[in-house]
Amino acid sequence: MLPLLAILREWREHPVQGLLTLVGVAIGVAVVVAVDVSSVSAEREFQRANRALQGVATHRVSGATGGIDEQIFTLVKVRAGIRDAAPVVRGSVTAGGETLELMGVDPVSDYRLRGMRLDPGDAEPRPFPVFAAAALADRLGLAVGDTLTLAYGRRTRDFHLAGTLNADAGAALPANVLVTDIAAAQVFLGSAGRLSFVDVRLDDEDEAEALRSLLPPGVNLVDTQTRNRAQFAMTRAFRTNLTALGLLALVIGLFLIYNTVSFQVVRRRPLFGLLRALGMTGNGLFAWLLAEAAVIAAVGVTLGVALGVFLSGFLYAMVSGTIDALYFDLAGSALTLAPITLAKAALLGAGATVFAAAIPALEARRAPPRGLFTRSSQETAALHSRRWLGAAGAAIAAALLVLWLNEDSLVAAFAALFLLILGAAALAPALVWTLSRGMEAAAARMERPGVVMAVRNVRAHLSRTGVATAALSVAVAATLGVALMIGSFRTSVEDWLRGYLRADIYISTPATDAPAFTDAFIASLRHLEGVDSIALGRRLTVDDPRHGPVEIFVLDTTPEGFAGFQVKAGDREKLFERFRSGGAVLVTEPFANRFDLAPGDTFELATDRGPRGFDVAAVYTDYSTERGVMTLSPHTFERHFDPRGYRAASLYLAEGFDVERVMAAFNRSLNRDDTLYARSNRTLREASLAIFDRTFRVTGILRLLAVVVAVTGIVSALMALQLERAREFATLRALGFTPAQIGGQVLGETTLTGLAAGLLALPIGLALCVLLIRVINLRSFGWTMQTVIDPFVVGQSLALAVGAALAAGLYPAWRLRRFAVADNLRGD
Amino acid sequence: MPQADQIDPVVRLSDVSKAYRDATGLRRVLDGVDLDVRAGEFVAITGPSGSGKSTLLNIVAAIEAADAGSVRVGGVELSGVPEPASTRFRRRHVGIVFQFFNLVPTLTVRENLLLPLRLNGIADAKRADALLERLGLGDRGDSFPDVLSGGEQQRVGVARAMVHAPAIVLADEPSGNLDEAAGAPVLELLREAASRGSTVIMVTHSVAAADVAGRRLTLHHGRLD
Ligand SMILES: Nc1ncnc2c1ncn2[C@@H]1O[C@H](COP(=O)(O)OP(=O)(O)OP(=O)(O)O)[C@@H](O)[C@H]1O
Ligand SMILES: [Mg+2]
Repeated sequence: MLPLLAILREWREHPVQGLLTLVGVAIGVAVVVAVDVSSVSAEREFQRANRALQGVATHRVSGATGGIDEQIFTLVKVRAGIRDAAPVVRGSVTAGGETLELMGVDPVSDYRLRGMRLDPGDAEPRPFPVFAAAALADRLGLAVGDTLTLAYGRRTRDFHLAGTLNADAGAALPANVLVTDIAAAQVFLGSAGRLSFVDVRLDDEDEAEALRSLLPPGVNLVDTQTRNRAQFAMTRAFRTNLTALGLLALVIGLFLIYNTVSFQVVRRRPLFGLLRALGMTGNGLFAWLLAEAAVIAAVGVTLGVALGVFLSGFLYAMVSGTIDALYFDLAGSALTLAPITLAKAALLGAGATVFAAAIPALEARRAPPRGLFTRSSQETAALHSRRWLGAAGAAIAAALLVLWLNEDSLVAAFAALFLLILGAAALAPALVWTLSRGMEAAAARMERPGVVMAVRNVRAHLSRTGVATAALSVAVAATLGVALMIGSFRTSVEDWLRGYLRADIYISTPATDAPAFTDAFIASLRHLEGVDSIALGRRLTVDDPRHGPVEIFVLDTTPEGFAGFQVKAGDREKLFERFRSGGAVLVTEPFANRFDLAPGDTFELATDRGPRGFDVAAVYTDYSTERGVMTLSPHTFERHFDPRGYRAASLYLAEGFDVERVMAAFNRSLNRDDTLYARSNRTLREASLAIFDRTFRVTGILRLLAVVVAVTGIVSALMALQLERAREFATLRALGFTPAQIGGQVLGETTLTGLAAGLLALPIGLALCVLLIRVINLRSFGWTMQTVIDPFVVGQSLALAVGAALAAGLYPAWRLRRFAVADNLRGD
Repeated sequence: MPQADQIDPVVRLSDVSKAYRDATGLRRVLDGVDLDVRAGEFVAITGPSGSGKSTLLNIVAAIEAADAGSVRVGGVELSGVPEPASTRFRRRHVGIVFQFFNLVPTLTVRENLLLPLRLNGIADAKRADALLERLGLGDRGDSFPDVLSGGEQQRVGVARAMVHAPAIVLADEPSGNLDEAAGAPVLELLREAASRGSTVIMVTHSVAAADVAGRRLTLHHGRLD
């Protein structure tokens, strides 16, 4: 087995190259694992938290927009004879600056339904007890028996921590829930005699039908599944993002693995040629290379999974941080390593590794031994890039075909995205070849031998750097595409906010469940000095049995305020009049998208008087929520719903009054206890953009990860290549090149490669941006937005590509300073 | 074609030694070598394989350092010359014919020849073509090294070492792969260089080649005599 010994020794002689290969496989696997683990974990936590709150309830009895009468509970329990029914009174309260959810429950009936257990401590029983999860109590710095002051609107009251809240196995407690008894909640939240909803467990549809027939108009029985589906839709934007980035990680991981592994085979061609010449069979060599790849795969995947799990800790913290900020307060931090993740990682790692080794190994098996001696020369490089070109064309054509055939499928859009990225990446080698070819004549005219060599080397080494270049292109293009998309999105949001926010001061309650403004308060607002007119608004969630939660916005505004709506579709003629008193409603783009509505359609929605149809008059731009909002006037609202009051006001100031001064006056006279937010137009806009930025922070992190992987890829490929050229460098040194000259040549070469990758990334990035905006975002959420190309971002991407490649040349160039010329003259 | 900035191409080695450490221990390759070559002299060095001939040339070319002893080229003590001055010295004044050719794989034959010229800022490309013609390689100028035969590669290596008219030519078996017909012009070139005043040190195994030189030395047991 002497030939194998020769190959093994070769590994020992080149430990750096071996290490780079392992690192390549490991990082490729790690990225996929990290993205997967963190998104699976986030989803799992989300579901567990939901399970704790929802328990085994199958349905919820609730009013269209708010509470129901206490009598309903009696009706459910006694008249309908439902055994498992749990009444809940809930509201958003604040404690120590934190917004918490106060749930008043009946412990006995609740325990049968929900996975929450109340474990009392040994403190004296007192009125107004609360139970909190241990994590929340810790966060608030409370021990059992301590007093906790809660605020609801202007009202405050001392509760005391009566014990801890625990979750049954398989459920997780949201970290923002306080549980108390029904009476305490009713008293504190000012809803004596009323409940928020009653959760029930029904055996079958007959039972549901029977219960439904007993409920008065305005009280609905909502299927929990319908609710859940809508709940999960909340995180859809987020998941779309994660899916896209997971896909990206996969592509880059594949490229990286392919690159490092195939490089490792190609690099040793002369040795294989020699072994073949000495009598090793082609099949023997092939088998050996596959076995070698299997070992690399095993070690690489193991390292990669470990590294990925480690990385996912950080990633998950950010992912759950974003979910917390946006939707839900997740308590747990358990990482879930799903078997599917492991399978995916193993398949990706092992598959790509063996595939990457198999292609050049097949070549080595078939080629006559002498052919292997010579390294890839100019001609074969050209051939290589032509083969890639064909693949590129096929992939891009397939992408366009998929898009064209499936007009509104999101899956198709993602498939197209994937194909487009792959196809475009395959263009990289051809572009490098062309660029190098095109620059050659100019380089020759410079009469600097180093320059010609650098330019030509780029081409000659294509078979070994092509894939890394492609990977770099993909990563940079993806970064660019996503950055441009986010930039476009942000600009659209900014423009929208500027048009939409027309008032000078915005007043709102901190929590969505806070009590409404009193009439006296509204009157004082109108009479505040400097206030010209005011608009009043309230967002409500209608629990619709068919659609799940639907957000509506009741808006009492002036024609000037109304002009802030940016109408996308619908007749603008007399729109305000139709809206104010004609029963017409306006819906946002995501709303129209979610319920498939166009101006002229009628939207059916549960109301306090039973289901009613609403005439959609127009679709308008709104980026505030991807779930969509339906806006209606007080006139329309009051025809179908019980009066609910307002919780937000916007003030239009008279000419010559200073925003800050009026705001100060408001805080002094009407907001002495500081229970309301008063924000200027500018601060509200900034706050909205801050939320926007926070939403996309995870995206930023994942993008960074993608770039790190691609940069690692290009650095390892280019570095390995340069390290291999010792003999050539020795000759040049002997001929009189200084280390600096050769170093310059190395850097020039890697830079040129990076430049090609960067140049290719620009059109791909733009195409991705357009695809994300015009197809993926539109199909996911119905948002239309402008496409804004920020030249700074474009320049940054180019700099990133060139910088990464340049970095790859630094170590080899630096190593040249101390280089044993004579030792390296004699060959590898 | 003597150059204005030509040095006095004297090579003087005294008591030079060099040893390598490998798996079997320390190998003394050169052990007190003395060598004096006058300007314009053509010296042939022979010796058994592995006796250190290539090592000796490397030391004169300053691409390898001696362990002990003095190496003076053109009156300058090599060990005292720092980088990059020593590289510049080699680039300008030394031409090396490598035993294993060492052509730059991504440059064509002509470009390999132009390399020393360009490095020295010499624009004259005609010299390269004339030299190729003389060595019977007139039609290979645009080929890449990997398609040349061993003998062809060797002649390109010789041409590349001579093209910038260095004051010192160090040739390691310049005709080792060549038949008599192809070898003759190579030896002729070296002799011409010596007659123009360059110092030529040639390592060879061939008696016929050694006869062309003015002086013949043998490296044996680490010593020259
Ligand atoms: N870098 C090195 N490391 C270890 N040993 C070396 C090294 N370079 C040369 N040697 C050893 O030094 C001795 C002389 O080598 P050198 O190449 O100078 O021989 P040579 O006389 O040119 O032989 P040939 O006629 O076969 O070319 C050899 O035994 C060789 O193994
Ligand atoms: Mg030798």
